Amino acid sequence: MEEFNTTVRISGFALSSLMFHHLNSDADVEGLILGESVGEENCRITDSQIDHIQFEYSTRQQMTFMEQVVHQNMRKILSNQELVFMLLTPSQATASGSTHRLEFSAFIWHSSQYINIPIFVSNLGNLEQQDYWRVSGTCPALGRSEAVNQHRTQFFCSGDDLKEVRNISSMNDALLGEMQKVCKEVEKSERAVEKLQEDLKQLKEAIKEHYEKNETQKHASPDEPKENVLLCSALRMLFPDAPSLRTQTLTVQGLPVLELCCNTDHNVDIPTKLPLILENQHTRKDTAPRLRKKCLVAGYSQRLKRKRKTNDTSESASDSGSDTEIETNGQNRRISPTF
Amino acid sequence: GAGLVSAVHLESDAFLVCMNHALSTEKEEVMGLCIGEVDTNRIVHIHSVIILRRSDKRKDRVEISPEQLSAASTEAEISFELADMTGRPMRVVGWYHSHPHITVWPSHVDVRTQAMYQMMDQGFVGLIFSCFIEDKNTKTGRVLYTCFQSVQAQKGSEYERIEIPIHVVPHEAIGKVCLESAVELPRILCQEEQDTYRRIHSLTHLDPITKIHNGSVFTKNLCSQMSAISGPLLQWLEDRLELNKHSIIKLQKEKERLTQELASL
Repeated sequence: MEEFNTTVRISGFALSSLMFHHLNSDADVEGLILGESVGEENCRITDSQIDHIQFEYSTRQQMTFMEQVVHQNMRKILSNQELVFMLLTPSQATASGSTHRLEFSAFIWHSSQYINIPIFVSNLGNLEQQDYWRVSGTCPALGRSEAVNQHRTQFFCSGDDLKEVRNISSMNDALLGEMQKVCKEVEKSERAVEKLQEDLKQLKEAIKEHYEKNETQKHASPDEPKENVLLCSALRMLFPDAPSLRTQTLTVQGLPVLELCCNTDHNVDIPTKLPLILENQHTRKDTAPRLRKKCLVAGYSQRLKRKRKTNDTSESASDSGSDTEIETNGQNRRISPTF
Repeated sequence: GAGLVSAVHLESDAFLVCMNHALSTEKEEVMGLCIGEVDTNRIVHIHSVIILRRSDKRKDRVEISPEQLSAASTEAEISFELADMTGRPMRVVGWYHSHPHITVWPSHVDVRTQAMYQMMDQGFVGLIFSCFIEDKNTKTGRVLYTCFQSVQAQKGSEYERIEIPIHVVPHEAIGKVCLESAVELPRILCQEEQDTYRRIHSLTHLDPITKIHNGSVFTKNLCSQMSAISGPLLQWLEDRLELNKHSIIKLQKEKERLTQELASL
């Protein structure tokens, strides 16, 4: 297999930061990390954008199918053929929970497959620290040399200090000072974020308390529907053979649930409360031809279509629920039930 | 056994500082102190860490004597104002060190050192971070961390490690002491380098060429520190600041919305 030389370089701080974000979240975390491609073969990651990263609570250090699909899409969207996918997975190394492991690896699409590329954590240790010379060479002539002593002043300041040492120390001190300043700003911002999160928590609790207080003040539970007792009694009176009319609960398709139809006699005094029904009762005893009227309940129409096919015109209202038809007296349309 | 710790809860921002420190160099072990408190259930809560500076740097081991540890602890407790947000006083409750390129398990020396620290404080815990480990076949990098204490099976016998369960507790905001500790690292490295250089430079028998050479060594070493430590750390701080600024704007909007909602009720 051809030698593939791409490596990923990430600083210890960027890697720690990724672990920090992962440990603060309860679930899989996805994100993007910035960096740059250096030369054609190295890819350096700083803490900000480019590459696609995923933390997973799984034990396999391999790309899942979903991750592969997302990665391909991102390669197209970002027009970055060298897009790197980094995966971090935690696991427990001992049953006691005393030791934990965090593995990380990088993948890149190359030659029609995903291949693992090494991750190099840049640190101080891999920058060779040069050693100081503790003794001079054994040639006093060098120390006495006219040439050396003439040019000496270019390197040394007053006294014995080296200009180079002074310069680099000043720059480093200034850099540390700048870092200190940014650190103070970060600290202020962390406290500001914490304060706002605490404020939000309190506001949400206050709102929740308010709603809860209102709920307990209501007398009836909102779950129980109130029954229209008069209507129920009227229907019972007018259509004693159609118990499905006395329904309070419909299915999603709009059909009555027979088990929940009301069979209670509410003992309503009909002559007092519903005098018009009595009138109707009386007229129903006429020998007017019985007509079948379509029931316009939503969802009933399908059942009625089937009924017509079977040509069963003599069937009376049954208790089967879905195939109920309503008999009405053609002369009294105004009291025929329409839902 | 009695007096031993039942578990350690390490806040994630303290973990961040430990990890930063451990990953700062693969050439030598680094060390620091854990700051926190112990509750009545013998659970050690670690809220932050302090990076320790060693006057005697050895590449293969890192531990300091119990006396040095005690002195460092006292100094830390005084100078870092270790009270946390609730005003409870914090103290040094343990130590951590790194194992670059080697197994996470404590060595015999580590176990003995931990035992000595425990003589001063029974609840003292030890943490080890193992890093710069790579599986060459799968090219998977790995970082491990463990928590332990030491026990002696019988009086006079060898000390053995016992495992202490450790959990990293989410802590989204980064605490003040943690931030200050994080930026201490480049300062400590710089001071160590300056000390080394000054000791050498004060040697009187060195000729100018040697001194110029040593000056460039100092420059080179400081540049390495700026490149490997200060630079990435500054980058991370700036990114964190940016992230927080965005969060503040978002949270502020949400706060206004909820305040209005509450007012309208």
